[in-house]
Amino acid sequence: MMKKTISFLFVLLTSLAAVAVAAALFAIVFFIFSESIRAIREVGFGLFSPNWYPVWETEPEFGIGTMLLNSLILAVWTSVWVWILGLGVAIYLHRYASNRERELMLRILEYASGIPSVVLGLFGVLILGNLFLRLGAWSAQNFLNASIVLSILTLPFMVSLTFQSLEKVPRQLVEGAISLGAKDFAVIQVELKHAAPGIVNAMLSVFNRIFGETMIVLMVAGGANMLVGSFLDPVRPLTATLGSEIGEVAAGSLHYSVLFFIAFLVLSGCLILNVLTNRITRRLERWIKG
Amino acid sequence: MRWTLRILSYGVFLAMLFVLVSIVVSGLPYLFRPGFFTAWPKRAMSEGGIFPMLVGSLMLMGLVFAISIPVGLVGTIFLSELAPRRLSMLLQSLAATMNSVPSIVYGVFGLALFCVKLGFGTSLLSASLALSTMSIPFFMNSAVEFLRAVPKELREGVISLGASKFQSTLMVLRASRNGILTSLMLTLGRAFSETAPILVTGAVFYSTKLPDKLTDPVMTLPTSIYAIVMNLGERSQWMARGMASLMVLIMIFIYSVVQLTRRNKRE
Repeated sequence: MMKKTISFLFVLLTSLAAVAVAAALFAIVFFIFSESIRAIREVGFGLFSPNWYPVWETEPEFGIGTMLLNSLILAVWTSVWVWILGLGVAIYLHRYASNRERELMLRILEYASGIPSVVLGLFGVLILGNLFLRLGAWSAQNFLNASIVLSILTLPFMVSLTFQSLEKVPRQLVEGAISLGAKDFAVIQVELKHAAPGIVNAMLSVFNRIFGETMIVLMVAGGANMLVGSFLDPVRPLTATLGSEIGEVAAGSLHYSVLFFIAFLVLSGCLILNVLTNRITRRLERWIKG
Repeated sequence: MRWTLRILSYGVFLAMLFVLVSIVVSGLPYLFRPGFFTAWPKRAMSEGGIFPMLVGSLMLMGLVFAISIPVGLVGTIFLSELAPRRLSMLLQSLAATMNSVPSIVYGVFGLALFCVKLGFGTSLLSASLALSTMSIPFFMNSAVEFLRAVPKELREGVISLGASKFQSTLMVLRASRNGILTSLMLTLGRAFSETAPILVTGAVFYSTKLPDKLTDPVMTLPTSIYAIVMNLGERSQWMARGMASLMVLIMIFIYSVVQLTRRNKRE
């Protein structure tokens, strides 16, 4: 009897902890959405207008259009670079690198992946920023600078995820292709096809991380609310506004609610991307099996 | 093909090395200034040391661990040992989803729930709760793989010898202790380096005393780096560089422990 009660309590306690985590996700979505209802009701479609003057006393404007566009442009541009570079490095490490080379590179990349984002922000402002000024840019913090620092943040991640999925490709497959006379390039094609679910997963996670990253864009992007026209323009993505203004706004005001709407957008973007990733991965897995 | 990729890889590798080395080296000399670790900052952070930020970060990490390790561990046990397969998969994919949620969202959530709704204000408590909300799924997601990796025969063997579920779980935990240590270190690294949630929920730029209640605001390393770089002039930048260098060294230490445990397991 005693033993049964104890084991029952044990199961109950552990299941509570696991369920609490699931509940937390729903609580997050619920809280952020419920705080942004006021903004949706009072500002409506004005939320997507280009002008952001939240503290103008007579007629404040809460348009996040420009910031949203800047965020997307920055995330897409940076992701494409990270994808290409990351894929290249991962293929090299997987196919050509000697054991010592691979070990050393992976270790340094792992250390680099541990650099806190705020420290990368400092690197962008103090070290890269000075370099930009010396090269004649009119603003030390700009689109290109933010893009470079964001690539430093996500490249190690992209390389290690892609490398892991390449390593999981069955050995026999590659050997079979080689014995049928496949050249280098064709072998890589076979491997890429079989690692595709993992690689797509890595690519979408990279995009997600860049889109949601706050500290780096807050420090390095420059903070001007205008549509990016050249690489050296200062820009302000969505998350930068969120990070810099949410701490200073009066709780319960319309401005506060609009900032929650921004958070809601970022969150739903991430959730949609997650669902999409799962779908695509599953479809790719089916495609590989034939 | 080989040579293009080799040049590309070395380029990326050297760039990463440059970033690491330049951050560490540019702040390293300041770590040896007298009083850097033990003095309070003075004159708008242009003199003195980082004592309150260091202690603040340590207190925060202590609280985050006190909250998230018990909950995370217990949740992990449920996922790998007790839950039916489908439920376990569902919960794990929820935890994975939470991992991909940007950290600022946890900050904003913490602000709405802990600071405003529950009335904890901008405080050590709110910050540690917000960080824990983020760390728990992170820990579970990482640790559950290690628990699952323990061979099934081991569990069945112990159970057939008459052990209870509780005893067999203890044995699984003992068998996967290296993996749990790895997950712990990774969680520590994640929580230590995260800035956005603390910035929003618990940190202040300057405070004249250490927090002595849970509801006091706190100064931490990452938020101070942010504040100095953004708000203060060149005369204070050395302190930010010093703290950045310290943070990177700590992260390198954490990852070295992870790499060491990984290697031990392989042998």
